[in-house]
Amino acid sequence: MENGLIESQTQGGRSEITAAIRGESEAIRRLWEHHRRWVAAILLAHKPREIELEDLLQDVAMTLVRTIGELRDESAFRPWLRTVSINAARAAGRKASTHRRCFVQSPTPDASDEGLDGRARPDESVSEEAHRLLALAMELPEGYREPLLLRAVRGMSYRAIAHLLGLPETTIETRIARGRRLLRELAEAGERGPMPVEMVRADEQ
Amino acid sequence: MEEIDRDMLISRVVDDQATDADWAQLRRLGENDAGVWRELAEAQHEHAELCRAVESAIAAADDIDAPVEAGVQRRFAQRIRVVTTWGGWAVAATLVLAWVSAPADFRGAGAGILDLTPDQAIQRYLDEGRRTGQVIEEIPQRILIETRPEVNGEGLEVIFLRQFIERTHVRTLYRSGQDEFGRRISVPIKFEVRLSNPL
Repeated sequence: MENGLIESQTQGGRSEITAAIRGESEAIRRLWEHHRRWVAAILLAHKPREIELEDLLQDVAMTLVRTIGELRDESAFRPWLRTVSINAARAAGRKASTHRRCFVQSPTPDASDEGLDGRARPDESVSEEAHRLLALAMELPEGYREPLLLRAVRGMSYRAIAHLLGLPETTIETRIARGRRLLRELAEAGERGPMPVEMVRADEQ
Repeated sequence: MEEIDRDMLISRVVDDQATDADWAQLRRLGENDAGVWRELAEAQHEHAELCRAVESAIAAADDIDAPVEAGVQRRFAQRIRVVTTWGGWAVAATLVLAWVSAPADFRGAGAGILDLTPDQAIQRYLDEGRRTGQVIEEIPQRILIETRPEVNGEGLEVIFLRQFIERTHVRTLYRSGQDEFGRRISVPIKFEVRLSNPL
């Protein structure tokens, strides 16, 4: 199973999208259930750190319910839902930015105490190293960060990611490979301590 | 160039996408530089760890359901607004529709319907209606008409209204009117309504 993405290429997936566009509640519910995990990964890749993932997921789910009837092309569903997700994350970022300007913020909690969705609830089953890698992945440029996080979602193939991002499969493959290399370099730099300024400059060139 | 190829090869192996040719190339690389196997092991480990971290972070999504009830209420409210903006003749139109559109033929669909309970029959009506496009949805709110205590004193008897939204297609709409002699007549309605999402 390809996490609802490849499945959605089949007639069954398309008919579900069609039914959802017609406004059938059960189809909308099922559609959301099939797609919400990768939506969460997109939000994770784009959201500001201090915004809770659950809040954004609720925003996206609400937008899906309210506006899917306006979608005219079933094949555009996934890119459309990705755009909705990115817009939700960016809108939250703008609000958070305004809030920061208007109020004196309390000090940001230490990263080791906080989940990456902005909540203080570390998952015991996930190692510290895993949390650290995800935190480092969030520092990657957007073009590498998004495909790399999507690839880490169960069942997301190069093809599914390529369709979602509207890019060729070969581009996705290259970005994932390059993203892994950058992640390794960040991790190694972290283990060595802060990189000397001249080394950072040399790497940037 | 070689560095990119190396990263790509390792990435393909991590993602279980490596071909025989990729493996052959990787072995050749490994013969000259054993460090490639260490890199491969690290990449696989990091990918597994990242998957665990991402899956843990996005697990929150499993608790978020689509608020379809809110959507149904909103769409229903929109439809009511549309009907309202069409004006008073819309009420007459709904009555006249019954005269000008063909009555539903339940003879075929009703085969065996006597064997069904009322709830089963309604479910069948919904399923069949959605399939054919005649039934859009049931309005989730049930309108309370009356409640009274059960005769045996246990609980309440509740009388309520269930509503269903249906779709039909007609060539002409009529409104009720009167001719010069005061007799009731049906007058065809000429209108141009452009709705992006009509009923």
